[in-house]
Amino acid sequence: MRTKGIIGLLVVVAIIGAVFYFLSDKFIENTIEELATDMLGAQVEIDNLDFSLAGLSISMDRLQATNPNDTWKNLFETGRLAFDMEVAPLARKKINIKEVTVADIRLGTKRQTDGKLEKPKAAEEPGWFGDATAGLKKQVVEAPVLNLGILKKKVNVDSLLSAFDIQTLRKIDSARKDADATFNNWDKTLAEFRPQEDLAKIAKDIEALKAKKVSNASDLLSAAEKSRGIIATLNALKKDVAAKKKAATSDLRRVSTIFSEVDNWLADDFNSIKAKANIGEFSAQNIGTMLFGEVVVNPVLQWLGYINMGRKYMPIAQKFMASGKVEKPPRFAGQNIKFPLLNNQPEFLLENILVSAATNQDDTSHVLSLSGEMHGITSQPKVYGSPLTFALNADMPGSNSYNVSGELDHTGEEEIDRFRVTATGVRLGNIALPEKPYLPNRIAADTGNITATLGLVGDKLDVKIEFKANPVKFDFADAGPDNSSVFKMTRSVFDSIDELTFVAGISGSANNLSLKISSNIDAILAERIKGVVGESARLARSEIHKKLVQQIAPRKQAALTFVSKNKARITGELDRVEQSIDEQLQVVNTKLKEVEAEINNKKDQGVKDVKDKLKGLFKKKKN
Amino acid sequence: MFVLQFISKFLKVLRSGESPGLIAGGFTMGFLIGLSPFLTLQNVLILFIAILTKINLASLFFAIFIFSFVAFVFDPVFHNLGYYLLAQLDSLYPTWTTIFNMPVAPFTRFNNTVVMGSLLCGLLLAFPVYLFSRSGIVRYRENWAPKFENSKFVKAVKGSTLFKWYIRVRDLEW
Repeated sequence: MRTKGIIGLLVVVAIIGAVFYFLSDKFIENTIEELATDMLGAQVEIDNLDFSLAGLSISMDRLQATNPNDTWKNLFETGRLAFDMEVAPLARKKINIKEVTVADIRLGTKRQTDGKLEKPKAAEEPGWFGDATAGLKKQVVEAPVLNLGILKKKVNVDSLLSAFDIQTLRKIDSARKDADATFNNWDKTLAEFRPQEDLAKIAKDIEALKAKKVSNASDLLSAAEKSRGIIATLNALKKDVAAKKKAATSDLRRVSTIFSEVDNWLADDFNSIKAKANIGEFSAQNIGTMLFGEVVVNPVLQWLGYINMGRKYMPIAQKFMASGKVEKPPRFAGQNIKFPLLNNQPEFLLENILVSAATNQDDTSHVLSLSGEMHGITSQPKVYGSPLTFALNADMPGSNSYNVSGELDHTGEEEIDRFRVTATGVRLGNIALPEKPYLPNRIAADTGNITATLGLVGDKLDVKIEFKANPVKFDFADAGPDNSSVFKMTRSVFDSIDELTFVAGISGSANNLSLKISSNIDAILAERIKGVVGESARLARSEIHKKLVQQIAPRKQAALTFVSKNKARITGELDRVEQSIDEQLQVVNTKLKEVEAEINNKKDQGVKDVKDKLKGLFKKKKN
Repeated sequence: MFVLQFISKFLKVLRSGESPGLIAGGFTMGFLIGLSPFLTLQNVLILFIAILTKINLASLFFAIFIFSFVAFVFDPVFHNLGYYLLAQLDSLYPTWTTIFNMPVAPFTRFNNTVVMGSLLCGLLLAFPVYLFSRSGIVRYRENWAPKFENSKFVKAVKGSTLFKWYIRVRDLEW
């Protein structure tokens, strides 16, 4: 044995151990903080993390996660936390934590420092979340503005129309040009197609066939042969004409179809002018989106953000087996061949988080109890085989209660994510509404109930939110754009409402979402708006439509006449050719029948002659 | 400089009275380590054994240095051999699966094609390398050492400015 070697080795091991002992805590703390901060998009801080190599346990005095929407507050803050890691998976660089119990959790606590990230989080890659965000925000932004003031003024229809680029006229011109090109094309085709010459030659052949005297069997066969040749030529010609007629019918139908769209183009123009003049129909649906669009969409996008994060860190597809040989791996790198793990475990697994907390523990009558569980947080759901599930409850006896539950199932081929939220007796306080003319900018509500379900399968979203608040009071920022009768009317509608209920639905693919919101205010307000401004708006709309039709109708009529005339001409030409061929074909067929009849006659006469001759022979022999 | 130091030390070892078996043992262990990517459990174990026993360390490090270059050249051969053993030889599949599921398996990196190929080649050639190097040391001491010391090449090297400078730097009192 080499004594110096043993001592040297022991020294090396001792140095490595000491470095690990002193630096491991900070290293693990920084790593977890960085990872969690990246996931949340705001500072996550850990106080005094302690890693014990002996029991592979980690403990920390505090964990605080900043609220990304208000960086001077924490989303949550915990008291002391401790958990153990499984030893065996660590050999494969896998972190497996059986259970973490969070007994002292506080929500929305104030922070000593701003938890905003110095370097903002990189923009998300385009994907379903980006599509859904853009689509929903667009629908909220494009919700019509209740700009009723314009209706008090007389709408100058002539100046409105002169300033408007009427698309229908452009489209009619363009369609006419297209029709013109189609007709020219057919004129050219018909000019190059000359069946008359062929038909004349055939007619001549037929006349010759009629005039020819048939005296023997050879003449008959020759006539039949000629007839068949003429029929074959005529059939080919007929086939050619039929093909041309079919193509012409298709082209002409297309031209007609384009012009049948004129009324739709006119409707589009009419709607655009109405929107420009702000005299559109105010449907109940519009009012719901106008009032509560932002209030509904923002939390939905927040939930979708959590799902997006879940999908990013818990992806569905995992490939474990090598797909084939890597022909030229980098030198000394080789290729790692994967074999099935008999008791496979994900790279990261936190099996259970148990949360329990209570506020104001001195006064048990006003204690808000918080409890919840989360299971199956893993970086490889397919390996783990079970979805992430969670259920959080918070309630105060005889007062409000909240329940949030859901699952992120990424174990199959497609992600299936579901959230359910139920909140009863929620103290709502003031809810800010977007600033819109004639509409309230805030709702002051006492308590409310919320039920929401969110399902996202692949990129198919289905959200339903039901909200009920009572009593409610609507606040207006000021007297509105003017202290008009319209404003007074809208205000009186909102003043008369004591209870607010609305149902919101979002459905469809992430890139084509449909947002529908209906509230108890919609019908009342729509009715009152119609009552006040309905008649003047109706008159303005009627005049616009009348003038629009007056401008479009002559050009439409001219185009339709042009199409109809040319269509009839081309169809007639083709029909004439077809008819002429049919007539010739009939004549030839008749002649062919005559020739065939003649052949049969001759054949019968020949047989009779032979029989007579044979009879004559037998009679002579008897004599 | 580093290379010269290596060669110089190795030559000194060859001339010294140390047992040829220990020098050849160190050389063989270095051969095994040098041939495969360094960071594997088996390489660390071999190194520990070499440090703890009286195996000649100079010859071990010399062999690691030399055979790392050899391994670089033969890397594609090791990759192909390793791939054949790990992925194409069906009869060994259950064995590899069992080993893969053992707790220490990840540290051996046996499932890497280059590690597997070089390890197999190393193990097959270890004994011949040991025998060959041991007899080579004996022969060198008996026949070649005096000739080599007096060769024009060695004299030229020793007489070179570079070598003299190296010796001066080496013998400096720090």
